[in-house]
Amino acid sequence: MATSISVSEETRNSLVAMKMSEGFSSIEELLQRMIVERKRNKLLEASKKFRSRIDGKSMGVKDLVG
Amino acid sequence: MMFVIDANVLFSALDDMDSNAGRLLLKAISGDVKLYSTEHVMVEMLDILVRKLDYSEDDVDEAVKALPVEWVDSEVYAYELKAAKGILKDEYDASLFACAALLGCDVLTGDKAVLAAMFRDVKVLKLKDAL
Repeated sequence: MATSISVSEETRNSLVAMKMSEGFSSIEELLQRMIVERKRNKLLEASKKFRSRIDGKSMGVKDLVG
Repeated sequence: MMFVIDANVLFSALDDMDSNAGRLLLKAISGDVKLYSTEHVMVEMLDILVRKLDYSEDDVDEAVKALPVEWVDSEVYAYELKAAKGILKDEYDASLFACAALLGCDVLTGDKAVLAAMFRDVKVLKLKDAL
């Protein structure tokens, strides 16, 4: 079900410009893509931190769950 | 597709996002698969991150929030867990089967003991068989 959110005119204009320049068919589609990208980046950050810790301990995944 | 996933899959993904496990999590973010796991798995993961990798409370919170997993509260699968514990001695392993039986989906794991176990009509798959 569609609903509405309130944003400033400046934000609205930025979203519309981004939608057009990047070829999205709707603001909804643009926002969905931005959400996916944000989640992906958070996961990659978490992976980077995990790798840094596990390397620092000279361990492997098998050492964690074994 | 829906799966209940084990901690070893989540750790493998965090270790290498280009691995099968990593690709599975990226598929979940895109909405191509739905991933669930149990409160038992979460508790185990958090304990390992803190005890073995010196994660702080904030680090743990960030890691859990970053994972595209819906965590199922133990109260939700408590009834099935009782039955699963009659077959699988390990409560942690039993939680995976209890949750999968309840949700009607398969279990994904790299653990040999879990792969060899059976409970109701739950299928247990290796990552390579699921992708």
